[in-house]
Amino acid sequence: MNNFGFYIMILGFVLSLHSSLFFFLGHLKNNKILIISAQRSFYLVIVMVSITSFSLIYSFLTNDFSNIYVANHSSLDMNRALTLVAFYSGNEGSLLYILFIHVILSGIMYRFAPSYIKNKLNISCSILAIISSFYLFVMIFFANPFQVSEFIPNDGKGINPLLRHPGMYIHPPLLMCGLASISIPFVLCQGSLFDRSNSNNWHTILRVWCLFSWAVLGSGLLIGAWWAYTILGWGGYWGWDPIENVGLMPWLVLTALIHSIMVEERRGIFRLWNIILISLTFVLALLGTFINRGGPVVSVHSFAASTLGFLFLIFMIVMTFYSVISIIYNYKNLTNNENKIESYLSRESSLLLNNILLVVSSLIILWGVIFPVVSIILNDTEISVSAPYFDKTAGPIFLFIIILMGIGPILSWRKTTKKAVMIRLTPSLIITLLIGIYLYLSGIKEFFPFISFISIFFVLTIIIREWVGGTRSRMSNSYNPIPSFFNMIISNRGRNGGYVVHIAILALAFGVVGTKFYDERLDVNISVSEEIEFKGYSILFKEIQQEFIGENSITKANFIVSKISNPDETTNITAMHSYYPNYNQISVRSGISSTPIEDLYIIPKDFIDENNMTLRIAINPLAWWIWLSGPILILGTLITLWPNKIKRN
Amino acid sequence: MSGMIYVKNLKFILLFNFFLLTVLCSCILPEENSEKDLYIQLEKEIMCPVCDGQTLDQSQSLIAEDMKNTIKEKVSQGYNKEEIKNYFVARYGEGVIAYPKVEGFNIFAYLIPIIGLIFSLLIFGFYIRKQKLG
Repeated sequence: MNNFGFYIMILGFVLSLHSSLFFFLGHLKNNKILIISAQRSFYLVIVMVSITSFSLIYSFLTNDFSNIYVANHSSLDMNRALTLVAFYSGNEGSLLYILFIHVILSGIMYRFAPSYIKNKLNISCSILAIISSFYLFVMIFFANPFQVSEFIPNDGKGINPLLRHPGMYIHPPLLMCGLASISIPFVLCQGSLFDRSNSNNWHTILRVWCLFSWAVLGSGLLIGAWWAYTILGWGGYWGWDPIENVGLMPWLVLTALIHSIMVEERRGIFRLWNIILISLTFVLALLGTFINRGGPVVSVHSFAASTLGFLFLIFMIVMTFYSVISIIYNYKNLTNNENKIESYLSRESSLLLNNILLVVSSLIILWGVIFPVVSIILNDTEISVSAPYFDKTAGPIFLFIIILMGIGPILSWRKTTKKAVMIRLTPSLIITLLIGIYLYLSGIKEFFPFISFISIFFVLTIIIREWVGGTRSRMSNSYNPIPSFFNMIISNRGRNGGYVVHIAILALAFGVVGTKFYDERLDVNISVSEEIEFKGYSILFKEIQQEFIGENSITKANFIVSKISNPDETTNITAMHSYYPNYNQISVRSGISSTPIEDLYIIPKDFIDENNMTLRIAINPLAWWIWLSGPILILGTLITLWPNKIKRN
Repeated sequence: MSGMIYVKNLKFILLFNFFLLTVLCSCILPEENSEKDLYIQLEKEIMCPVCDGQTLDQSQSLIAEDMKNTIKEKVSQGYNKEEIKNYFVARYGEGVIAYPKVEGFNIFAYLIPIIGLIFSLLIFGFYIRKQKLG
């Protein structure tokens, strides 16, 4: 089976090279036969990669420990449901997974491309095939998931304990899928660059794919944060780790892009800027892969660390070079638009400002990620750049982006008068002022959180005002506000979906500010049946339980928690340590009792004996809102993406 | 008349820049009288030297727990923030602090983002001005 998988992979590699070459030649010579041949191998690559992936899954399911990858990432006692997690839990398998997603998405993009651009996609498909060839090349020559060892172990090493969590079914696949899917908008934009007919049909499909990548990458990041919050047991969710940052950077630039594409759709300007943004996103995604596969910075996400960094670095440099050349080559084509920005107070300007702030924040994060390397090279000192740096540099910019999120959407295209802006802003300003006074009186006096909270409420009131206004104007023929509200939402899906996503971002910001500035911690030694009080909670340590599942031992601590103000209503919280002897690793699962106001978070630090343990008790205010933002974000994206009725001519 | 409007707008941009800068600086400068516990602050500002880019509060390794206890001890003995940080720097090197200190070569860590931000905002202002005129 291992040889079979490997040979199919080689076949896929040859087909992929063939497809990229023939798409290119077919485009140059305008030869239909070459293109049809390229198309066939393009689709056959999907078949080959799928067969390869299934043969690796087969090896996992049959416990074929002669395969080194299988032996290192699974074991006999592993729950079969974890096979999929084991599949991408190491370097070789994750490469295969990324390739699988890449070819599937490429196939979907090409198969379902609207007929008016389908015959212009040759260059795009050629680049897609080059990317597949690159991955296949790396796997065939450097990271073969089908490598066989001469010595066959009786049992495998098992899957990394940290990965045994429901979040692991979704977080890595979504994140890798998001990063891999960025190549689709990139190649579409390359296709539009070489489209000499100057048709303006590209941005609809471009926007759909950008939104897809954006939503997938965004949810991947959020679920990663949720996983860290529930399993890593440190009370936080975002550590500004290099690998987290390289996922965040393309997402920020993509956010800029989905805004500026609107300007191109509407006014025909920003074309060059959009192409620069797409190329930047793509390069940042490749940078992410490079850093992930053995880049020069240290990270906790070491699952795929390997010595392959240089290959990805070379690929990244080649692709960067190629994007720059292709932009310069088509420069004249990109800047021949008659339309101009007419005023500072216009939707265009606000979107451009939003773009600049997003790109700058992303580049600042990039600077923070590479600064330790810069410092070693130029200054010969080892320094760390971690959370405090990013909080201070990128944090304020995010705040401005949020404020802009409120003002931008109420500005009209082309130009707005100051008076019109003030009329639409006044109610929000008044309400925000009142909220500000209330917050100040209730003790929120520190500068940054205060400004953040009132900005969040400011933006929220603006969105609500827009919706109330829209609903009212639709209520002239019906007196029921609910259908009017939904009609109003449906009437302009792009805009209202955008508002829903903005609300998601507000919820996220609300939670981040709450947890960042108002968290409380207490470290205690506690014995069974002891009761402690902390920040209005009374926490009773009920018992310690010990369980064995196979070789792994699980130690649980049970607590009964109640509010001091309301002692009758109690909650049970369980916090545990699981010890995995195969990995000699302890995985900590914290006990969390979550409400919209605050989370009580109990981290078991150390079990001293049968009756005593040390704990960290943390209060994380508003953390609940961070996780709420995920579903709202998906909902908003779906509203935006839901196709309008197809116009038939 | 139209010239007036542009000058006004430029002022607006400069003001906006200035506002951004003050916020940035207020965030970068160390907060002296923050109400939070010194111990929790330090835990977030000191790296665990062996755990690949985690701060102490993120790590549960033995050495991290050990360092946390040391911080607790030092705080209860009345050492201030700088003294405790210096103690760890002397033991583990500059890399144990979770952010580049605003001194020497490290100034570039902060200078480049600030310059980049101001520069890009100025470009934004002039770009729109040019578009309006042209």
